[in-house]
Amino acid sequence: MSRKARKNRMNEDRGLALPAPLTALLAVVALAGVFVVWLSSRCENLDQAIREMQVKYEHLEQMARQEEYKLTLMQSPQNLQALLDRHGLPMVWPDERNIIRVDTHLYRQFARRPDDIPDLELAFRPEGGTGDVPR
Amino acid sequence: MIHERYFGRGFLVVSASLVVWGALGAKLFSLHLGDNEDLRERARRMHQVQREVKAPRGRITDRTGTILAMDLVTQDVIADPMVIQDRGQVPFVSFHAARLLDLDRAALDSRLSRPGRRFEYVSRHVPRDRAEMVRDLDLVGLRFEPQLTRHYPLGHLASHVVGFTNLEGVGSLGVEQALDPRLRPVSGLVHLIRDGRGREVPGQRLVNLPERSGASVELTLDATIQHMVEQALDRGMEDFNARGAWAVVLSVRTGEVLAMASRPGFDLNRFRASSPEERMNRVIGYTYEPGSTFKAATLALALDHGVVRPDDVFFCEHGRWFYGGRSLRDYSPHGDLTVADIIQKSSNIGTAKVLLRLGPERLYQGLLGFGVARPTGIRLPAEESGVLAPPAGWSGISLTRIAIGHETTVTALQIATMMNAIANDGLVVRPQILRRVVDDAGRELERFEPELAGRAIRPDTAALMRHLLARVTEPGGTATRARVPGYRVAGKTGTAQKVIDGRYSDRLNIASFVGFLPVDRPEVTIAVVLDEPGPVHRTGGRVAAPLFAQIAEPLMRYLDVVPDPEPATASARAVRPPGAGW
Repeated sequence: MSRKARKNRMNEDRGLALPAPLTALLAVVALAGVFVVWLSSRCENLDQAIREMQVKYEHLEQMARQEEYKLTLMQSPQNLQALLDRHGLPMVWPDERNIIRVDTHLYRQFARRPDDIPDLELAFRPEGGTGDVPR
Repeated sequence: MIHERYFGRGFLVVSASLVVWGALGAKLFSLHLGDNEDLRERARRMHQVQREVKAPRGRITDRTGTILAMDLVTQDVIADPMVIQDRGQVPFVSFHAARLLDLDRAALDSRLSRPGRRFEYVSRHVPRDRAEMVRDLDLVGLRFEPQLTRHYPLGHLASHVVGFTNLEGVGSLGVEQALDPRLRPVSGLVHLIRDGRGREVPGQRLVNLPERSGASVELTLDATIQHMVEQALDRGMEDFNARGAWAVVLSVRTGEVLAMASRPGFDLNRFRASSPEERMNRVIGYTYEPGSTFKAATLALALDHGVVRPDDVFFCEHGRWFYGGRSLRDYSPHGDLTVADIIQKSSNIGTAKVLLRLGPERLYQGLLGFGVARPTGIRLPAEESGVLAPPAGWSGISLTRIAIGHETTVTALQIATMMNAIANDGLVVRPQILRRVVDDAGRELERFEPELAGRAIRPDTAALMRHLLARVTEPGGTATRARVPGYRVAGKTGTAQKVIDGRYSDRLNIASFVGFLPVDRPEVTIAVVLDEPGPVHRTGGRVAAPLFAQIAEPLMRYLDVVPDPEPATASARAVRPPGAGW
């Protein structure tokens, strides 16, 4: 009985080996795939962030408009008048004799030397007036 | 090797798979390459969205930047009654919504209880902060829709000038109407693609037309001056029980309108509740016989043509003069008066006699030069032009009547422009209400410069008239109540009977005063008109002149106009030639 020759599995051809360039190519493709997925996810996040900022911007813009509106209401002549009346502060224009008009050119010229300003104030103090100089 | 035993079974599985995959393939083939236009259209509709992006209408501001009109985002609060009813939340929702939105709870409760309804406005145009309070409660069945709505922060102030937009957002009065194409925004259009989760696919916008806000308009008005004028008019309406009152303030050199007010007025935020009479801007839209204020122009023309001099004397017939078969009367009887005194005393007879020397053609042409009988061109809608017939259509007495401001009609703005020409060395400047138009980035799109309409009289005649008109507010004149401490005021009163059913009324009249100050360096011209004042005081000197002073006094302080250096009387004397009789 002939002995069946045992096959040496070490010498057996194990099939197609993956060549190095192909491996590299596959690796590159895989990496590119991962990069694309990452990029897509990043874009999506940015898109979301932009959207949120847009909403926030619109919200802030609306708030700014609302505040501008309120400020206009508060600063309106009617409102100021109503507030003065409510607090019992009847405002009248100052008497012409209490107004001191300073030549702005002259004042600026003196104002370059701060030490001169007190003298200037004295110079413009009216008789019986408070001596206040409009600044 | 498949065992024979399983061969049949294997064949069956493979065949079934082939049939299934074949069918799927066929369907795929049919879907992709077949005629499925309706399906494609459905898919397109599901993925593509077209959205209109609204932009705000431009603002209207005064010359200092105070906002007179602007768009604000408000919220419409909308309910789904069926959802609220299903959850048994009607009392809870109506209680809180009514409390926060100032609504009648019972009415809201009833609206939310209507069966079978899926849509009900709870409240429209709710301010943002108020809507946020409702939203924070997270009430079931309520949703919020943002809306851009027009708001007028100063309400009544300058309402006739600013105007309003109707529900479609179209300007319907005043500047809102006149500059509607400029103020109107351009809506944007976005055509985008959505993914399966309804989110926009980045970078896939098929159409992206950006929205554009409307341009903003800056007016020549000053809100503070406007407030002064409106306060004075309100007092005048109350004190003199007038049917209407209106006033305009012009800057002498530029013709800029610093204030323009009309009473009765209305609140721009509630314009729907106002009547057409309240909405009428009487300064430009109401024509009347100007009466004696017209004498400022007619006598200026007589002096300009040299047909009379200020010290020429005319006999004023002691108050009643028959001419052309009709009588002409003076308010107070006078004998001999110089031309200067005719102006000061406002003698109808004296004025008529002076103008007879000038003649109809020169009077007519001169008045046209002052801007009578044609719109001033202020660029506001519904401006009336007034009436002045050409001399060919005049009767035998027309000249004597036109001379004193009858048989002609004008608007208050025309009469103010006329007086402004006298203040401005005889130059007629076109009154203007618009200063500039800027886009939303602040770039200037258009600037409105002062426009010269022509010369009405020579500068020396204008200077002479300024001082003759200043005598009207001095003792002995008809408008001593128009005086302003510290400033010489020039002007002319007018009291014209109203025409009722084709006849002059003895009871109803229009009282006016138009003047400028300071006389030697005029800064502002002010015209004040009261309709049907009474019952006690009805003349321009009694009712309109005090209102003029009430406006002019704070105005001089506000504009920081330096008072006249000398006492008024000394200054007046200084300009009179030696030996002058006036």
